[in-house]
Amino acid sequence: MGAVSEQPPVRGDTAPLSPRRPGAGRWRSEFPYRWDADEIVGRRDLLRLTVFTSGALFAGTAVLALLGRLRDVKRGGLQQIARAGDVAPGSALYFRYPGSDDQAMLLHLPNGQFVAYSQKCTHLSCAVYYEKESNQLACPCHQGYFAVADGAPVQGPPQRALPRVRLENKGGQLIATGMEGEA
Amino acid sequence: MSVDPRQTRGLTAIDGAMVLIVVLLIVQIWLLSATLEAFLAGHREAALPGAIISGLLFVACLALYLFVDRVDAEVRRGE
Repeated sequence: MGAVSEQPPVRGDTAPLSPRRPGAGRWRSEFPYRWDADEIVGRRDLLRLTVFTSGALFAGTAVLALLGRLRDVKRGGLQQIARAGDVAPGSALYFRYPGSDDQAMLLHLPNGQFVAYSQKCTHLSCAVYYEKESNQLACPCHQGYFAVADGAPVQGPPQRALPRVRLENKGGQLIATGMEGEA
Repeated sequence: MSVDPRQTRGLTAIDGAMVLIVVLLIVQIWLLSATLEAFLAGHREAALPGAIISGLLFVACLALYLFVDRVDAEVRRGE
């Protein structure tokens, strides 16, 4: 038992430790717990860790919510686009909204309705154009197509609809008021 | 060797609380991944309800932890 008396004190059980190999003293001094004491300590530590992890996960979700609110505040103010009479039915007008670097397009559909979308393809962000022949929105990079009525993907690699620009018609003036479903 | 019933109850309470907290944690992890996916897909309005529910789950975890802490303290006082 001479080797045992040279070892540092061990927390937990008071029973004498069995003789160990020479050189076991270092890890024992760095981890001075018997297996049963280790279990008790580990349980409390695990509880604390899980509560901290829960707080961290909440913080992560809260940051996402905050970012969403901030972007909503920062972008998407009112912007006059064009007079309704200036855009012929079945044609498109390209403009920039909500930022000066964000390309968007206003479509005057053959049924008289006005719709506007972001020009950024939801696949790999190529510029989407109005194709009069097929009455669809086409992405030339990977032959992706979107429906003009709601911006939903109808063909090719895009899986998500184009972000839509909310429009208001005030006395013949078409005004962008915000974005919907922005990526 | 006799086992103190209070200690047994305390350990059972800790084990039960741990299982509950781990379940809540799994739900929170799923919630964060689902919120992130919706956020990146452009549905930013989904982030606020996600954050509120995640906050409630965090409060539940904290309450369970405080409960375990209290049970633990009571058992130790009785020893």
